[in-house]
Amino acid sequence: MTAGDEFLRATLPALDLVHNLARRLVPGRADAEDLVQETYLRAWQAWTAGRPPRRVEPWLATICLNLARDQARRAARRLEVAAEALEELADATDVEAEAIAHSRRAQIERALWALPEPQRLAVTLMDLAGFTAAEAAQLLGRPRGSVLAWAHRGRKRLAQLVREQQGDRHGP
Amino acid sequence: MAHDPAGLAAAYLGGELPRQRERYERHLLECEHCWREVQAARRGRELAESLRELAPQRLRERVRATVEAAPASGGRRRRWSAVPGRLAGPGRVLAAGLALLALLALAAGGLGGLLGRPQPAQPAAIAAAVASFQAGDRWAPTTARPPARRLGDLRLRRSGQGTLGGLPVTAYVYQDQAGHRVTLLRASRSFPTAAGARHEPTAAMWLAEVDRVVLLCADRPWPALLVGQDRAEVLLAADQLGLH
Repeated sequence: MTAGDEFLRATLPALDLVHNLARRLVPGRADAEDLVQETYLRAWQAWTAGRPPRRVEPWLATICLNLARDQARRAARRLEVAAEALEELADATDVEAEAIAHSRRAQIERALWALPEPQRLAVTLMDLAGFTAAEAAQLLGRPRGSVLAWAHRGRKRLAQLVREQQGDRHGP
Repeated sequence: MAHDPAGLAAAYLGGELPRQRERYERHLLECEHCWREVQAARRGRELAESLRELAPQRLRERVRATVEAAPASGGRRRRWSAVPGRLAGPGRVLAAGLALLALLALAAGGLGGLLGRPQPAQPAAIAAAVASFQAGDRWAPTTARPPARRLGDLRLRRSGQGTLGGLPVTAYVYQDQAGHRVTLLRASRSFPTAAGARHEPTAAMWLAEVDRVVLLCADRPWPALLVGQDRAEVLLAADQLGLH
């Protein structure tokens, strides 16, 4: 087995995690996929330089977070996300139930992006990527208590935003 | 226990109250404020979790192609425009295919065949497995229970049975939305080793490429032969199945 095979075997099972993380770090699907690819490229270079990690998931998440910080383009994010959500909805050729699910998903996605960044990151790392509070705190370089509080506020706000969107949709 | 509804709910949902858990849960039954905190956050967590999605197969291919195209050690960063990126649809697939083909062609000394060299004769079961895969895996249907319904992005499409060079097998055909296919062949005894196979040093497995079809064979937990078009995809499937 080549070094590349070993690397892929060790890291590809974490692709879903990195993908989910990247989708909430940069706007738009294409940018997120670029970020995932760049993450794996950096990871591969570190691997071949003799720096394989003890645990793959937090290692890849750290690389992904650092790259996303470098690429931050905050001003454009929300507009692009909203545009993408609409575009995806318009492209949907699914059956009705799937279209409804798709619409609902776009709604939740918009609400997540509307959270303040620390809350969005905490919710993403803990609820989407499955890291513990301690791991998320380490990844963000912040105290565990702060991360727990951000996650808690973010979850509550997320639920509230989705509820409000549903209220708007159904009307008074 | 200090009464800090938000802090306690955050710690509780974060799994941070292992010793006080039961006490807190009793408290929840009596305290409307805390109960609402937990319910609201739980709802938000469920919403966030509902956004989890599988990485698309095209991204898996891009990652593989990136790793295969990047220098093996001490390498400088290579712009990924050199490997499949944002090309659309067939262009991306073609580019990925060409990148991999180029790499495979470079490695053809070990794999054989891609530069027109004659391939060694294969045992009958191996040759039949390759031919069957190339012909689209047309097996007599069976209701045999599959070892897995999904292998990453690949989903079970059909099951079948037949013989390969006299070896009875059950076939499970997995495919993703892009049409990539990996077929798992199970037998009651070991498959013969393909000519030109490379043996995995730390496991009883071998890997081979025959007529641009990738084969991975293992004996544990049961004799199995994985057949596919993409080496990393086959390796991933082996990993998901726990073959060793």
